[in-house]
Amino acid sequence: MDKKKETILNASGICKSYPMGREQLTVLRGVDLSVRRGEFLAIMGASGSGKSTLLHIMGLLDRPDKGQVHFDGDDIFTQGRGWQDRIRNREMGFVFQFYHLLPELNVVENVMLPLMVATPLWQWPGRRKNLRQRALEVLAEVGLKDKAAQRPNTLSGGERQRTAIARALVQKPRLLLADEPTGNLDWRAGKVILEVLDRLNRQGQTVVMVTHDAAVADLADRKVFLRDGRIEKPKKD
Amino acid sequence: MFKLLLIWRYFLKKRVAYIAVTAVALLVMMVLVVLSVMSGLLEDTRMRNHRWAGDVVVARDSLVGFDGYEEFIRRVTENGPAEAATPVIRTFGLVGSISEPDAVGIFGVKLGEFCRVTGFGKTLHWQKEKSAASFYVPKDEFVTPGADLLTEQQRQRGFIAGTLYLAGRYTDRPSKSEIDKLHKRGLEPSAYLSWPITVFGLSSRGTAAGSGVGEQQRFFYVDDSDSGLVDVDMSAVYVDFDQLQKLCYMDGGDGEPKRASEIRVKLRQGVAPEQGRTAIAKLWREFVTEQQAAGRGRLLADVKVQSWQEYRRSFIAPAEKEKSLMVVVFAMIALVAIFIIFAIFYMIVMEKVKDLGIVKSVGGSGWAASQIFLGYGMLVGIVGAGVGAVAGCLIVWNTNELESWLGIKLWDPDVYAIERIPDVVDYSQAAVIVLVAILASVAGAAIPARKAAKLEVVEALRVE
Ligand SMILES: Nc1ncnc2c1ncn2[C@@H]1O[C@H](COP(=O)(O)OP(=O)(O)O)[C@@H](O)[C@H]1O
Ligand SMILES: [Mg+2]
Repeated sequence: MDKKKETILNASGICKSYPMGREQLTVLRGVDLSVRRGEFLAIMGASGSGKSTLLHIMGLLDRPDKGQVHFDGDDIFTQGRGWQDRIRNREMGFVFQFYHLLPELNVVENVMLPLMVATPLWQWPGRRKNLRQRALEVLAEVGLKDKAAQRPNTLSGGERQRTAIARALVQKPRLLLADEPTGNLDWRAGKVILEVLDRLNRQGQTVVMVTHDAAVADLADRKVFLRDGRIEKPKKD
Repeated sequence: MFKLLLIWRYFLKKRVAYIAVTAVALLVMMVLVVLSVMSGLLEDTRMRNHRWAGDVVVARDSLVGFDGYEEFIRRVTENGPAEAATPVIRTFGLVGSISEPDAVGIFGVKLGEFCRVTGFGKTLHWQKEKSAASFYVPKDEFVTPGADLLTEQQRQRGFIAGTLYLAGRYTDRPSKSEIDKLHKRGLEPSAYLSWPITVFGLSSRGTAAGSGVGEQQRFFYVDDSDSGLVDVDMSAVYVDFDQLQKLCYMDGGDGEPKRASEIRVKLRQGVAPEQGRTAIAKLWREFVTEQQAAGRGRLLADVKVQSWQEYRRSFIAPAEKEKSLMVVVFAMIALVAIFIIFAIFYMIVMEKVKDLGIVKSVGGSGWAASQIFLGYGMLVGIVGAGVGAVAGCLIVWNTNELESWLGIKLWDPDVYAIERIPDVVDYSQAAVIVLVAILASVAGAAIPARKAAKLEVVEALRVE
């Protein structure tokens, strides 16, 4: 129980605005949010409320105008590029609403991508087999072992999203960030994805999921709402 | 690792890669073919001029000519840089009937020597293969019908005519290709070709010599010369040096020394052209000083020692001027080609910026991600340029076959002195072309890749 309380990621005072013609569109106006180890957190909010923006900032894919994100105690935006690349590669797995798979690679190669990025060329021949094995294991976890050799464009939306989840998990990240992972799927395919996320969380994976769908968010241990650029006071904690 | 895999996959799986390879190949091929033909034509012009002139020419512009040539030839060949040297008389004359003569350039040459010093022998028709060409009229019904009726003295007086002049002189004016056909059938125009040639002698003082109305002598056709130089082939008639020297009163019959107009020199093997020319010029100055000291140098002062390029400058210059024009045109073609290659890669990479975002989102560095595109550009560039270079070489090597296969004649041989389209590839030029194409490919990929690598990950992912 103690362990569950431990904060893995802490965002404070996050501000982000986009230029909109002559005006500024302020999306985030000082977001404070903590993610605790092992929890399943759902970030909810209306469409356009800035959920994706926030998740991208937490996942080191975008920069805030103001504010800090601490991951395991480190202020992630003040670190060097190499450190940031390493965090993206090993510590955080990101699942996008629109999958973002590389169409030229097959399913298992897409899943192996983070492993390949982390492996220098000269080590590759020796490690290829193990890494491929690792990718196939993760694919099995998401129920896609038999599709390993297919190209993404031959898969259904749900299968693509499971491939993306496998890619996010292949390096055993401490934090899994998912941006409306079911948003683009029908109910049945969405359910499979949610089951996968739920199972992962039960196995101890910390999950942060963005959704605008209350039914989807019900799966989470904890929900927060993003409104007017801030996290609403939680109803219960 | 993933970089190589991605580069390879992009290359194999994307149709745009094939299009890009094809485009690069076509551009490289075009540039290679244009450049090869262009420089081939110029090289051809230079070759023909060089072949006809020899390496170095010692010449005096005046029709009077200069004396001492025998002594000087002895000096340059015995201890100097010359392998061989031969005197030439260059004058003007009239050919044909008194009522309707043609003005021509008459060259008096010692044919055997002349062929050793220059490539003149290779321009002959009948005696091309012969080791020693001669003005002696052969008793050959094919070449000179009726030759057995000539006296021994007449048979010494053969002439060789420039092909184009011969074609023009011929009464019903056959074209050069028609003369070639006649040659092939063994039917010879020479039956008609015994020409009275009139020349005008000058004394060493430059005054009219002899009767003053010109000396006429009948000469007999033995051969024609196709030097490929229009100015020469249009108006040159070659006769024996000694015959012409006598006819022009340059043979010392008036008590003065013998004279010639030019000395053509072939340099020894291994002597650089400019070095050879300089050495001969030095020898010439020493010779002149010596002669003048002995009171004999009156005609020697304004003799020029020229390289073959200087000697033929007014005829090479137009071709070179043409070349500089061509270079400008070519530079434009090359620039367009480079720009197109650049643009192709720019567009390909812009299309793949999202992939770069994906690679970065799983922890790939910006540099690693842009390396993918550099590698991709390089691979497409290398394959494209390689294919293009091979295709270009094949086209250039086979231009003439292609031309006849297509049934077209790009250059009418009756008008242009071009019988074969240049079909030689300059490999150092080809290498430069290939290299530039690859560089353009890489640069075209590098610039957008660098830009994209600097984007935040989400920004790159947003690019569709
Ligand atoms: N790059 C951008 N430029 C301009 N506006 C943007 C950009 N990204 C997001 N926005 C705007 O910011 C707001 C929040 O976007 P987003 O975080 O995607 O919301 P959500 O994920 O909650 O639907 C939206 O109004 C969107 O139009
Ligand atoms: Mg969103």
